[in-house]
Amino acid sequence: MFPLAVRWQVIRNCQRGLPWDSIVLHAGCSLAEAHEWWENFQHHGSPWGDDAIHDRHADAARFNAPFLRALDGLVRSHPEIFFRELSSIFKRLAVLPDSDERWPTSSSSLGEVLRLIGFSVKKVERLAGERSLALVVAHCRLSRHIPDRCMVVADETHIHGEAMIRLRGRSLVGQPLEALAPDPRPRQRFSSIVAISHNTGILELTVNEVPPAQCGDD
Amino acid sequence: MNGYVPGALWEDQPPHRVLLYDNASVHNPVADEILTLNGALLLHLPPYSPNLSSIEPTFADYKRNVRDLTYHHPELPDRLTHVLAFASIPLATTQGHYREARRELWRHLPELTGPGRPLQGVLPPLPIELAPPQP
Repeated sequence: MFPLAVRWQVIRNCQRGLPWDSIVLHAGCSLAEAHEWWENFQHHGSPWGDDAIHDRHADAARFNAPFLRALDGLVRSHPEIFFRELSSIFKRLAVLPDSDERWPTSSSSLGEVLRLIGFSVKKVERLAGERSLALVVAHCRLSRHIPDRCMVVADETHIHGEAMIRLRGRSLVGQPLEALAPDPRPRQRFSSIVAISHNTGILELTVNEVPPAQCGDD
Repeated sequence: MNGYVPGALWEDQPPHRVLLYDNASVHNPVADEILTLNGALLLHLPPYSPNLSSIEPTFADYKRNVRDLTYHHPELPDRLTHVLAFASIPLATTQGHYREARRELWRHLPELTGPGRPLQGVLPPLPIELAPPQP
């Protein structure tokens, strides 16, 4: 977020009639932001969108010590969830003992708050890598002595309709290879929940028709 | 699933005692609790480690079978195609996936693959970024 002085500087430069590219180059902001501040100023004489609110949303996140502590603890203990949907972070924060149901931040300001408490993307990736490696070794040590016949593995998978159709044959000379093109015929998408075991192969199987989705998590 | 017998050696435990699954967000903690109350021992895969699960190559077999069946028998109903795709995976193939997952598990254990250890040089080494520190 840009400080108030930068916003006023952009507005003053606009009043002087400087070109937009030099204004944004000098202020270090984007052209869209500079336009927004200038329009806000023309509308009600202030660079803020709402002069009564200012930027209290971001400030509330920055100066909320319990929230910053909760976020710090979460990123240290479960860094891998910061690679998923941001909603999962808020779900984890909501189950903390001293959680406030209305944490003063949103997904859009989460990255800014993370950088504020010293967690860049690279640092989160490094933490996740170290934690994953330790967990993998711990898991291997734990399951090393479990015989295969005792182990049942379960998971679910999805298959899109287009993935069910595989065209065969060679393409004609000068024609695009049809086998690499998605098939336009509509096919049902399926979700399968499967459990396998060493002694029986497929132990349990549930096949469900599911509506189209953007990804498997849907 | 059978109930886990606490205190018994693994050699004496009957089959199907441990349920291994991943950390997908769709897994319900209530279901975990029900399984635990029924005596099953739950084991979660570490994050981002599908190579340690024997079910992922089974899914690859299943999807290949679906494509084959759809091509050769387009008259089959969709649901039947999926069930047949799973049913046509031989037991020996599944057991092979179990063996591969077991080898992958050993590769991560420095006490087995480290210098002077019984499996040193037997299994292909892990990439440097995945290799645990040597003991």
